Amino acid sequence: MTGKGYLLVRRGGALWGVDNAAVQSLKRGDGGFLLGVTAGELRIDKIVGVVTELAVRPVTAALTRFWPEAAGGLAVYAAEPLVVVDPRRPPRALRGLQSGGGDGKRRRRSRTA
Amino acid sequence: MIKDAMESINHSRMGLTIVGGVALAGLALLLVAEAGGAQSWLFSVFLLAGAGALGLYVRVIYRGQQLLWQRVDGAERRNGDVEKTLVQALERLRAGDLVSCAERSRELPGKLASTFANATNALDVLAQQIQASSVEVASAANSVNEIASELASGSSQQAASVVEITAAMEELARTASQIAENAATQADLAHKAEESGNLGKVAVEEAVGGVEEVRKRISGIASRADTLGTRSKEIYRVLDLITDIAQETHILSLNAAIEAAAAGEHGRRFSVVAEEVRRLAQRSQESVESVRNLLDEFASSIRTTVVATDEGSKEASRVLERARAAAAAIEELRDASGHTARVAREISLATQQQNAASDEVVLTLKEVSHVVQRMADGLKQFSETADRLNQLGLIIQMLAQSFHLDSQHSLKHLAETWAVEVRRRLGNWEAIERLLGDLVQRQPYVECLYFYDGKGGQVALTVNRAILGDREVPAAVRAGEGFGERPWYKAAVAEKHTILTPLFDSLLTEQPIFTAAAPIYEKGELVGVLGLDVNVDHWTKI
Amino acid sequence: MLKSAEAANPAPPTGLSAGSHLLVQAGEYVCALPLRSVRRVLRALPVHPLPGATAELKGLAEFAGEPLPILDLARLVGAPPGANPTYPVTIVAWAGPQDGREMIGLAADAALEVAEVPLASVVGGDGGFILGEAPVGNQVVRVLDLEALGRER
Repeated sequence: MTGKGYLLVRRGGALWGVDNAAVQSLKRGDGGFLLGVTAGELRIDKIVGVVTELAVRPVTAALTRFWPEAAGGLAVYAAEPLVVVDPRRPPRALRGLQSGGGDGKRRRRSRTA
Repeated sequence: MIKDAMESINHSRMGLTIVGGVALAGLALLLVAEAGGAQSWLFSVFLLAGAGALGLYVRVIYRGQQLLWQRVDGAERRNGDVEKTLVQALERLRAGDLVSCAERSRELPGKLASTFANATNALDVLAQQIQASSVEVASAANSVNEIASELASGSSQQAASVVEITAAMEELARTASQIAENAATQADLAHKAEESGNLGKVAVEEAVGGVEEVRKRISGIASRADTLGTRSKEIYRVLDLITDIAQETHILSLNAAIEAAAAGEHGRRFSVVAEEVRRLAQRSQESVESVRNLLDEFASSIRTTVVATDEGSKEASRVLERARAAAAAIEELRDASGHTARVAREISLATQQQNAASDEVVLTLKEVSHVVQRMADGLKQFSETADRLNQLGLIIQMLAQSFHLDSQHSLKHLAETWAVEVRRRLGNWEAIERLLGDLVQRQPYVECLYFYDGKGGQVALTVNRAILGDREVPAAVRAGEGFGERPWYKAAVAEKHTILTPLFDSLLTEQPIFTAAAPIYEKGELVGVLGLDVNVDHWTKI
Repeated sequence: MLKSAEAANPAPPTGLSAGSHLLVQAGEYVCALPLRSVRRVLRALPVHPLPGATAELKGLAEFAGEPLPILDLARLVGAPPGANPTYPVTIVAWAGPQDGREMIGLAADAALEVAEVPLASVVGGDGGFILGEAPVGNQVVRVLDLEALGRER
């Protein structure tokens, strides 16, 4: 998945990249921002910035084994690794759902897909 | 009467003159007749004249004389009655019974009665005033006696107090001498303490200086230890840096070994070098550990030294503080000693002055003691005089009571009034007994009231429990016969009027009393005597 | 900036002794990693935790411009926790089969040395990631098979 650029956001302490093309809306809410994508609204804590290009690498099996979430890939921005979000299947952390892993972050049960 | 007598005498003289004249005339006529040969008619005329004169004399003079003798006789009889009445009245007056005297005097005629009554009244008033005054005098004498007794007692106590004060002052003087001696000794000791304080102050100041010096040195040591600590921290940083380098070198050697292993045969020599580098890094690490251990020991020693110097510094500060406190205490002690020495000297001087003053006071007190003693003696005499005055007052009262007056102060009047009451109840002994019981309550000074019959037998007797209290009535006073020989009984019967006895001691209370005894007559016969025992103490307090 | 896959995934080393292992401290265990699977030993890289990850995945790190998942070696081998490491390291290694290996980072407490561990001396093991145990010097080490890490799920 590649695009003309990516919106870089922070959620749960981690850095995430969302294809600009997949962004449908952006508004304040829920203590941060609500990013509208194909799959619905993503909850983000902070907007870091926008980049035009990212060297996206595929998600490795080792990562998938220990982080069973769908992702668009991995990349690095300003020496910090980030996960590229699949707008059709965003990770639970961005949807505000309790994840299967124990990351210790605040969770909120929600019926949103 | 005298006028009538004089008139009668004049008439008699006139009569005699007429008769004399007639007689002379007759004589003259006879002579003339005889001489001149007068006629018998002259003689007849003379006889007629004479007869006429005589008849006139009889009618005028003789009858008058008769009337006069009658009148004189009547007057003499009346005078006798008056004299008798007057004598009786004067007898009652002599007896002091002004009441009976006044009653008798009413029987005197005319002006004599009024004049006597006036005189009796004046005497009655005077006696009443004397009685009243005697009561006041007795009361005042009693009060004076009491006051004199109190004064005498107080004066004696005062004299005793002065003696005590004198003794105390003498003791005080002795104590003051001892205090003066002690004060002088105290002054010496305080002076010595002051000198010791000076020496102590110097010593403490030297000690304080020494401790200050030690504290400074300890501070210097602590400062240098601090510096060493800082340096060792820097060395630790260097060691950390070296450790970092050694670790990096170790990692580098591992990576070199990895690369060498990947290069295979070509990398064999490189792997040796890598292994050497790894060992070098290991040795460096071990050296660093060695140095770190040494530095740890050094740092521990430094810390121990710092702690020790810190404690030493604190201890030195405490010692310094205590030394300063000691210096301050010594200074205070020195000041106190100086003050004590000054005060002791002042005390010594003051007590010496006090000694002199005490001696004067003792002398003065002795003089006061003499004066007080003389006062006490004088008061004692005054008390005796007051006692005599009291007795005189009593005597005056008794004398005043010798008059029977129609007055509440007159005991004779009281006795006779009560006797009248008893006479009304004669024959009813129970009524008399009740009456006596009632009467004795009316007068708080009547100790005992009793009635004896005409033969001296006791009919009724009652005592005043307010005066007697719980005392028993002695057998000599209880009912019996033979009281007719008692002086009061005999005197009352003899006088036929109320009498007062002299003072004597009561058998009931053993206090001075006197008796007022009133005889009671019924149809001229003695039916008994009523007696009142008057308690002098209670009587004079009224 | 894109980097070449070649640079991202260099060819596996050749000529390595099958017994060459890198000994690392993971908790209270000493683990032996096949040297051919090890690319680099580094001072512990900064790790960015990933929400929703299991305990074995510490997070992501950046190495040579590339994202690198960092796994906790002590948790992977089930080692009891040891003392706080003084100099923790990240071992950059290849995991998975030869034809599809991936680069991962293994967080260890310390990198010890390179030692020879004859495979014949390896005993025990679950046939998976932990090959077994073998004596090295006066200690027993757990020999790991990083190729099996990619296979297991």
